[in-house]
Amino acid sequence: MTLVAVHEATKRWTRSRGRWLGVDRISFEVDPGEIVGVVGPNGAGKSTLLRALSGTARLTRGSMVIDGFRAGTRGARRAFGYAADPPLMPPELSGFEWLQYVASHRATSRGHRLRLMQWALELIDGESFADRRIGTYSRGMAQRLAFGAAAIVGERVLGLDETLNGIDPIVHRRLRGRIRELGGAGRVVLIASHDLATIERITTRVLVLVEGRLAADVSTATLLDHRVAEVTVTGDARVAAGRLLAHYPEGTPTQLGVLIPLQRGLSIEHVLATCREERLPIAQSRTRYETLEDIVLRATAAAAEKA
Amino acid sequence: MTVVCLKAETVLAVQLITRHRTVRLVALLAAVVVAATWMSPRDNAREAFRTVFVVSGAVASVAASRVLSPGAALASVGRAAGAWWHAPVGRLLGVGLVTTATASVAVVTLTGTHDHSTMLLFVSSAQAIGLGGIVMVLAPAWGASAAGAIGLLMALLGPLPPSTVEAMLGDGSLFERVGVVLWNALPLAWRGLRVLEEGMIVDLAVFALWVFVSIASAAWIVVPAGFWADGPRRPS
Repeated sequence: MTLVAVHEATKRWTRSRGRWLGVDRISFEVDPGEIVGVVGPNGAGKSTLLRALSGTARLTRGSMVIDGFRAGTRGARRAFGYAADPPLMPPELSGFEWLQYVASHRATSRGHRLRLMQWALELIDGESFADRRIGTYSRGMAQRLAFGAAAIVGERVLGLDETLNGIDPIVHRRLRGRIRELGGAGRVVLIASHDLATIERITTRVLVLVEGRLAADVSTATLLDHRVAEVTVTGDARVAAGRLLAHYPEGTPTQLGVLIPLQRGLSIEHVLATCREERLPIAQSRTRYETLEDIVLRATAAAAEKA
Repeated sequence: MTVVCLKAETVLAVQLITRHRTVRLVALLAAVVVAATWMSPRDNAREAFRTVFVVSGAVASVAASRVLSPGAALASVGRAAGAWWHAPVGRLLGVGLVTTATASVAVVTLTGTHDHSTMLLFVSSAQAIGLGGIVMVLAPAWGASAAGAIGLLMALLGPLPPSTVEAMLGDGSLFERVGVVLWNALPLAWRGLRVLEEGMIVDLAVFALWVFVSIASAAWIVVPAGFWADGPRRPS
């Protein structure tokens, strides 16, 4: 059964300084247990997507259904836990009190509430700071507490907006493991982030948003199926990239050269031969597996070209 | 479960109120006003009653401005995903608790064992909660400071009867007419004083009506647009 179904979702923001699109006709479905990364440049619509799923932003058009309920309804909000960026929690309260408040809305008894709080504290390794006022927290601590609170609320789906940013490497590693465990237990986890390395490590699938549109929907497992040739040139990289892209239109210009997918029998030798024909001075060349960064760059470049 | 949710909202409201410096400052000022009234040589019951109304109204206004203020307090409603009425009712209850506690101190200090003490506490709390409800509704859109300031103004000027307001605002202008209508419609302290002096039950009904209107309006404001319908279920 699909846990999250988004169909032609469009959110148009209207402010005193004008109107702009948050997300534009996005459609996708997520099954239980999937850990989905949402990536893209600033202003691509990642946070808007999560806010619309949480019910805090109303769609202009289209629909979002979470666990069978339309986004924003009480049923959907009880299924979707949202850790916003920045995490909005009352600074006057301690972390423990905040978890107590959130757990009270889920618990059926006092014992249940205590178990939920204990579980959340273990999830975020928060015992060491939970008794302190939230106003005194570092960014990482606040992110962790927001994650714990969202995990209590979101019985089926978790939306984490830049939640793993600003967290120290040791806790970061533990949290990655806990997120995988949540996915293993059947929850859907949607993670919006600019940290592509983390997204590549923990997600099973990635949605690439560019200018509010879904530019790519890729399985992270398939990244190992694709190899690319990375060519770095000396001199004017833009001119060199232009000449190489005339031969390989599926390639992407990078800061120092060009990135060309090795598909349909194409090898790096072919690419180097083309460079020789075009008399392009090569500083470095290598083949490697495609990364999420390549996909994001390609999608962004394609969107810019279309614009 | 509803009781647990309601209790959680009330506790959160009390925490938000009592841990904010503005509310503590207003409570301190209220204590000074009560002490000054207590020390004044005049033995005037009406003066004491008026002070209790001003103090409870002021504390309720500032307290109510915190419970749904933009930012974390407002966002927490969406995070918890309770029933539509949990947050408005629970948080207004929190305002009521803080206000009644403050009013109790003022009543005991100023009236002691006066015949009307219990009634004064009840009416002043009811009036203050009505006033706090309005501030609570204004806070999400206007911000805590603006909403609190409006509430404070209503609390301070509230003991003036409509006839005085009419006389103050001039004769026949639109401004005057609007002012008088507002003065008659809002849950102001002059109605509370009238209950104590004349036993007008309709004034208590006005306070209760404002509490209900505030709760309904706050619920309308704070819950997401799609909240009211629990469907549609996806066809399997």
